[in-house]
Amino acid sequence: MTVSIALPKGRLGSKVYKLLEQCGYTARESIDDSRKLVFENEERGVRYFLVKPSDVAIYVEYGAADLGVAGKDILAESGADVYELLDLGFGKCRMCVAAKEDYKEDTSRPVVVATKFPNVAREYYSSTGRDIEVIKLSGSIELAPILGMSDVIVDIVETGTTLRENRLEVKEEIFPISARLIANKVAYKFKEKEINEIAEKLSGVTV
Amino acid sequence: MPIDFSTLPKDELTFLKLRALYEAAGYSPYKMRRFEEYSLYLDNSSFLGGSSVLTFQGPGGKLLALKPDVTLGIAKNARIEDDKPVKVYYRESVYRTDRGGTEFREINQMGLEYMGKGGDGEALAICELALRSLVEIDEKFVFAVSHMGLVSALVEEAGVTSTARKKAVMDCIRSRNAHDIAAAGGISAAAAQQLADALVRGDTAFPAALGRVSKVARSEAARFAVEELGALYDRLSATRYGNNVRLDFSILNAVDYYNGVIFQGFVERVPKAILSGGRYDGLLAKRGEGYVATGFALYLDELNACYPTAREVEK
Repeated sequence: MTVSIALPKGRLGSKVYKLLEQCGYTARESIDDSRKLVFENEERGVRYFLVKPSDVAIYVEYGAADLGVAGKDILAESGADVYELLDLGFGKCRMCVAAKEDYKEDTSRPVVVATKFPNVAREYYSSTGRDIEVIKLSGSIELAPILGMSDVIVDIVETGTTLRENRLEVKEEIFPISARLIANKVAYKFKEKEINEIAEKLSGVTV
Repeated sequence: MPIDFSTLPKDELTFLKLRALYEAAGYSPYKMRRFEEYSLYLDNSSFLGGSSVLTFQGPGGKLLALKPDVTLGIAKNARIEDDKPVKVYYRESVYRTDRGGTEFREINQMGLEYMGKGGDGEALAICELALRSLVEIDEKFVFAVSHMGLVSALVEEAGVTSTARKKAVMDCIRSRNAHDIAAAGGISAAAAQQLADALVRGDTAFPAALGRVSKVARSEAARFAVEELGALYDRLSATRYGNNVRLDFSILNAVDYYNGVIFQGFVERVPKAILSGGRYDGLLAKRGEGYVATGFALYLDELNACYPTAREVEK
């Protein structure tokens, strides 16, 4: 049975594809040097799709792809109902609350949070019992507290360099992030052997 | 003129077949009111899994709701007598929000419920009826079984005690995520590995999975659950569909509601569960001890898009 795999376009997808290639799941042609979006190798029983990173979980949840690779940040934000079979151990960073170095929380009013991840922010602050006001942004999140638009940001922190350069610092770590191998729940039930074989081989080359 | 069944959409065809199946098993049709008092759903909000309810004010000023679920209404309104259990099947529309909670949907649902004093045997019979319902829809199916009591017992035995931690571990089991169990449960790597080996890792072939879990089932509740699952498999494997039955602990839903065997049904063509059910004695707890409640729902809406009629195929 052919297993279809949604890979995120870009660096992460190329890295995962190279690992899959190492495991014997080649696509017959290079996925980097092409504008094609679908690559198939019937002999090896795999079909690859290249999709926008934030859409991988959606393709997998709706069954368009059996497997996919997505960051824990995207999975947590989308709440996609998928299996998370493997922590691939790369693409590591942290979901954090950050604010200006001299930030002092005003507990008499809700915290104003700027973020690309409103669901993650709401869930985190709900677990701490703190009321918040969310400002959804698409990029340059660090600007929001500098310009006084928000008290804090909830965002991905890799090395912390951008924060330091903007005189911000991590106040709380919410959860660690890395790339995860995800599977559609129904596809797993009908292709359990094939999917587990791919997961096991991938685990062998990533750990 | 003879009826041409090939023109019937899959949901209608399925309803006709299943109606015959359920009536042959002694179940009667049940018609619900379209709306109920909102308080019924408010009092049982954990059962609805956080789904919003569509409410409106009735003529007498009472707050009413378009029913988001059928089981609660049957449990409230049906006359359950000690010597005469309720054995009904239904086809109803229910109204719920989607996962994001942004829009209400009308869901075309068929289901079957047993509520009565005693009736452990009937609970097994209902599992077989659920499996036979899937056979009527598509012989390429998977009937996935789990046991809420067993999962809860093993999670507690692993040392996960707080409600928030339990929920986080259940989320890991639900998503077959073995790598985050230790952090989610606040337990040692060894305890997390044992839990993952029993409930998450390994194939779902029933005998092998039951063997793995029985090795770690120590408490009375866990041993009882293993025996119950064994008896269920014996019954289901006596049909010719034993290979379609899997022991899959990831099918957790409505954790606060089910207390025994739970199950879900899948067909290859539909990318989500089309059948879901289990044992929920707790819903009848107010009536006293010894009541058994088991049932399941089939989501007929999912079928038509994936099973076009013969005429649609010709086009």
